[in-house]
Parts: sequence; C-alpha cells; structure tokens
Amino acid sequence: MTAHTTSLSFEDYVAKHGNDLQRYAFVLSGQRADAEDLVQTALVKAYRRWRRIGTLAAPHAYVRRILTHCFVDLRRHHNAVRSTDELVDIADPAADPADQLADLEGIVRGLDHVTAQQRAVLVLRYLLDLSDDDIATELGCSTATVRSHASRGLHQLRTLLHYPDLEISHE
Amino acid sequence: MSEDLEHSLPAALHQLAQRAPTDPISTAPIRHKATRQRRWLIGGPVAAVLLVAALLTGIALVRPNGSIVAGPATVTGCAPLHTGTPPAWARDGFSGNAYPPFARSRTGNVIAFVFGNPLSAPAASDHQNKILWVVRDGTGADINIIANMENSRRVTTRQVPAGPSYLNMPTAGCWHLDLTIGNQHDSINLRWTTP
Repeated sequence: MTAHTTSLSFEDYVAKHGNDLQRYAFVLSGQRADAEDLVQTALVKAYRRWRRIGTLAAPHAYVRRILTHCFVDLRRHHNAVRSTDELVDIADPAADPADQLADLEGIVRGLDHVTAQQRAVLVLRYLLDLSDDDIATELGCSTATVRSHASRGLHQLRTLLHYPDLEISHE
Repeated sequence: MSEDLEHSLPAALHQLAQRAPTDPISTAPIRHKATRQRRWLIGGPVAAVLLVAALLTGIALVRPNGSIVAGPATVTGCAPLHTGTPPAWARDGFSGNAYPPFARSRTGNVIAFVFGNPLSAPAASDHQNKILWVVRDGTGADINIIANMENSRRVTTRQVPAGPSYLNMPTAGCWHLDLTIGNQHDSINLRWTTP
C-alpha cells in the first residue's frame, strides 16, 4: 500500500466511488438489499480507518477489498448457498444446452449457486478484469487458489447450465 | 465449451451490474453507525454484565431513558403480518405497488417491514431476519428495544437504527417489543418461528 501526502475525505471518496461500490456489491450478492448492507458494512469499517485509508494511493482498491471480505465472511457465516431444490428452475431441461449457455440470465442465476469465494473470483476476473495475482492479493490467498476457485466456479456454472436437475453438494 | 462460458460470463456480469442500485449514499448514517459501534466496543461489556446481573437477580430493568420497567410486559399475541398497502408516509423508497409484509406498532406510528419473512430463531440459513423500521415523523434516532417473550419472563434488549437492520431473537415465539425512539414510546408484536 502506497501512502499519499494528500488525504481524500471520506465524503469525497463516497461521492466519487459510491456507485462503483454499489455495482460491485450488487454483482457479488445478486440482491439489492444484500448489496446495500454490504456497502454500508464496508463503508462503516472503512470510516473507522479512514485517517489511514484516505492517504493511500488507491483507497478504492482498499475499500473494495474490505467489501469483498465482508461478502465472503457473510456468506460463509450464513452458509447462504441456496438449496438444490431451486436449481430446477435455472434452465429449461428441454432446451438445447448451447442455447442455455447463450442465456445470460441463466448464467446470472447460476452464479447464485457457486461458493462465495468462487463468485468473488469470477466477478473480480470477468467483471473488473483483475489479474489472478491481483485477485490473490484482494482475497489474501495464493494465485493457485484463485485459479482453483475460478476453475471450480466455471465448472459448477457449466454443470448447472447443462444439468439443472443435478444434486450439487457444497463445501 | 469452456471458451463459450468464459466469453459469455463478462457480458452476463455487466448485464447484472446494470441493475445495481444507483441511489446516492449518505455518509451521515455511516459515520453514526461507526461511532456507535466504537462506543459499544467500549461500553458493551460493562452494559452486558449489568444486564445479566439485573436479569439474574430479578431487579427491574432500566429503560434507555432512565425510567423503570417493572417487569416483562404482557404479550397479547402476534397477529399475522399485513400484506396490503402500508400507510402513505411509510412508502418512501418503494417503487411500484409491491410491499413486503409489515407489522404496525400499537400507536400506528411505527411500521416494521419484514424483508426476512418469516423471521426465524435461530436465524435461517437461506435468509436473514431483516426488518426495515419506518418511524412516522422520525428524526433518525435509534430505536431502543426491550423485548419480552410471550408466556415467559425472558427479556432481551436491542438497539437498531431507524432503517434496515437485522433483528435476531434468542428463541422462536411471539415477542413484544417495547420501543423507545427519542422521547417517543411505542410497542409492536412480532413472531419469530423455528426455521
């Protein structure tokens, strides 16, 4: 983390990056209410350390990292991966798998059924275009772990899109 | 196949991102919550010890405003949540005509929108006990809650902000929530079920 001599105020940061945080939280959680809670929780934590965060060269990356950890911790705590009963609705079993792959909505719904770490990795990699090394820094794990999460998440999504009735066990 | 999904995934994520809320974020509640949490970290353990001592010895509870509560209030039962249209003053922030189920307070001046329906104790694995508190002519003051469980002397206290928060209760049952909001006193009954 690189410190700057000038400090960004908390209000200026929120005004500038609030929408980015909301968008990121929404894609992570998939739910408006959960996204709002995530943003608020992350900002409360950031505010308590703002004297230091505000002097960083990239305060947004730091706050985003807080939000990512909040998301993973919350999902882990509540074991919020949804029941397999709901998986039946992800895609029409009669439809052609190739069409299902093209169905972006199906992919979005499938994201609700991967683990929090897998979803975070997929969002950071495919929405924010972060490298696996940067994602490893964000999540506090190794690059190999990031690749493992990405691989398993993609595999899970692919399986859900092809075999919506499949029973899936979660870690 | 792998390439197809990896090609579609960015588009799917960007499509999802377009539905994200874009409401301006007010920093005042964040500052307030951060400050309150800091106070709680300092004063919480002391308050917890005092509360446990009061409960164990049967001593009367002290309301946040200093007045004395003689003991658990009588709970007259939890009616089913309303599923119709809430009062006009409580509809701010909602779009369309769909509202979550809600409960009214005794005076009708507080509405508890139950997003986490049914409320569960212990908290359910598939949803949280999220409640949106809307106070008529509210000043934004926190809501201090003394909760009494029906047919029990079990009492627990909570403090939540006026707005959305999670409210977990120790056990399932009908709970009478005595609300103190600034100088305003009210009450509401809510049921937590076994998940």
